[in-house]
Amino acid sequence: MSLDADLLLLLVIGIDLFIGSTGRLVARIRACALQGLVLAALPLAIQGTGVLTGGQRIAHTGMAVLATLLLKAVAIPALLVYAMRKSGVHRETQPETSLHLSLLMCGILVGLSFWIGAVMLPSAGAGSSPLGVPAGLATLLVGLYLTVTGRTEITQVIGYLVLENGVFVIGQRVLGEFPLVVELGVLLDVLVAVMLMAVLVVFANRHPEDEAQDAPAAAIGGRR
Amino acid sequence: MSVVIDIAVQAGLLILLPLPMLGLINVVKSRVAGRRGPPLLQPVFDVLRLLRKGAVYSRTTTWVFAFGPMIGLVATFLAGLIVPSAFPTSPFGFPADVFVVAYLLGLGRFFTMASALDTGSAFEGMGASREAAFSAMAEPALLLALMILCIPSRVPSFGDAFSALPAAGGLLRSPGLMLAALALGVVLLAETARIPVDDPNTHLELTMIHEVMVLDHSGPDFAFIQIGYAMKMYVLGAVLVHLVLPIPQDGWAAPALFIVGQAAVAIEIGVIESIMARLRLSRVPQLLIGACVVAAVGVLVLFTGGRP
Repeated sequence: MSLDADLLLLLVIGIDLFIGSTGRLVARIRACALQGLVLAALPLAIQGTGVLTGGQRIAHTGMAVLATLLLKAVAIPALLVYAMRKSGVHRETQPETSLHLSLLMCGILVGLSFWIGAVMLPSAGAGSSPLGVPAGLATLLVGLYLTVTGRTEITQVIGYLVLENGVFVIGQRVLGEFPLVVELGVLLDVLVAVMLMAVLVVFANRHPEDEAQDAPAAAIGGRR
Repeated sequence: MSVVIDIAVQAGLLILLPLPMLGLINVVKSRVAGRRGPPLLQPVFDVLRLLRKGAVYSRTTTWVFAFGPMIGLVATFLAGLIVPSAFPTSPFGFPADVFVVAYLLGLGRFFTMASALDTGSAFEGMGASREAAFSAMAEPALLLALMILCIPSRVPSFGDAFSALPAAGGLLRSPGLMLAALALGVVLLAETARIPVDDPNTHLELTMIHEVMVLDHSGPDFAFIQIGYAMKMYVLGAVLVHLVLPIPQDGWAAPALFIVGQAAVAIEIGVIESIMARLRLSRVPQLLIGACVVAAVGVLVLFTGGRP
């Protein structure tokens, strides 16, 4: 059990680094979706606190996996792609810092979170994965960094999503099992935020004066 | 007696295997492209032909130019003797040999660059500058990956590290070692100037890195460079093979498994070259920094992961 959790958490960190280093917006969104997929698999690999047993536990885990999968890996990335295309095709992420620096910063943040995980938050139980807190903190910090350095709305929202993924990982690690209602509440919260953002992006980029210029771009975006 | 066999296997593989590995890469590339391709031993024929020829030296060059290829070859050969090949321990291994190997490779590279600068050609200077820049970024990744390798045994020596790997659970049981293998793979491609970093087939001086540095060498000198280059690939490949494959301590299965592993490395390089394009020069540092970061995360995972 622990092995799978380790590999999944490592994958989460790897995706953080990839998101920090890629210059293509679509690649970032896809990586975000992949991270959602990994997070959806996480409850299967992590052993819970044992409050729930038997069929109850299976139902709970199944619901959590399904909800995470639908929202984080399908709905939110699809919305982001929609918003990206509606607002004209931005291929590049246009970050404030260079990609080299961004990758280095992400590496430093990952190192920092490992340090914090080792020094400040000692491992709780022997059964749980020791990578849980570092991976969650790293995702959180990288998400924060991406949100701060993003120049466009979409990159900032991707950063926010990564940040939320970090919260999710830490929650999984600390609580073992989220209460299902809380979990669904958080997920819906994020979904609403992303929907608002999508609407905002689409409308904020619609200037009456270059509506005529936007039309062909939107047509190209729609066909892709 | 067994020591004699060990030494014979170690040196024999080091002399016989590198050039056919180079040939295997070309065979794989040709087959993927649907061509028949050169024979497997073509690099061997090329080197033998070069060794029979005379060398041409420009009047601007000094002894540095003549010594570069020789020092490069000797340094790589010594590194190849130290890195375990067929068995997890090398007969020439000693404590802290990890650092010696890293710096032997660095020494060879330094003299290759020095002899390139010695020609006084602008193109070769450009190649040397690129080689210096990229290898400076590849070196932390290499050393961090080697550090990960040595953490399970707590001894910076290849023999102890490779012997301790099965006890540490091997590659699949340890996420840190997987990251080390990943970083080492990128370093292998960068150090041997293969495709995401440099294209060995290109003949446009403006985009070359390794090939442009050796343009002025001819005859036996160029043969030395080719052998040294193939050996460098073999040395780094050997580390990768030991990291990925659990090679038994003795018996005839070990050399066979090692040769299969090296062939797999060559095939992998060939496939990567066939399906990928060379990165833009400005993007190469990002790949290498990425390798460094991945290796650093691997170190952290092994140190804080709780599973040594």
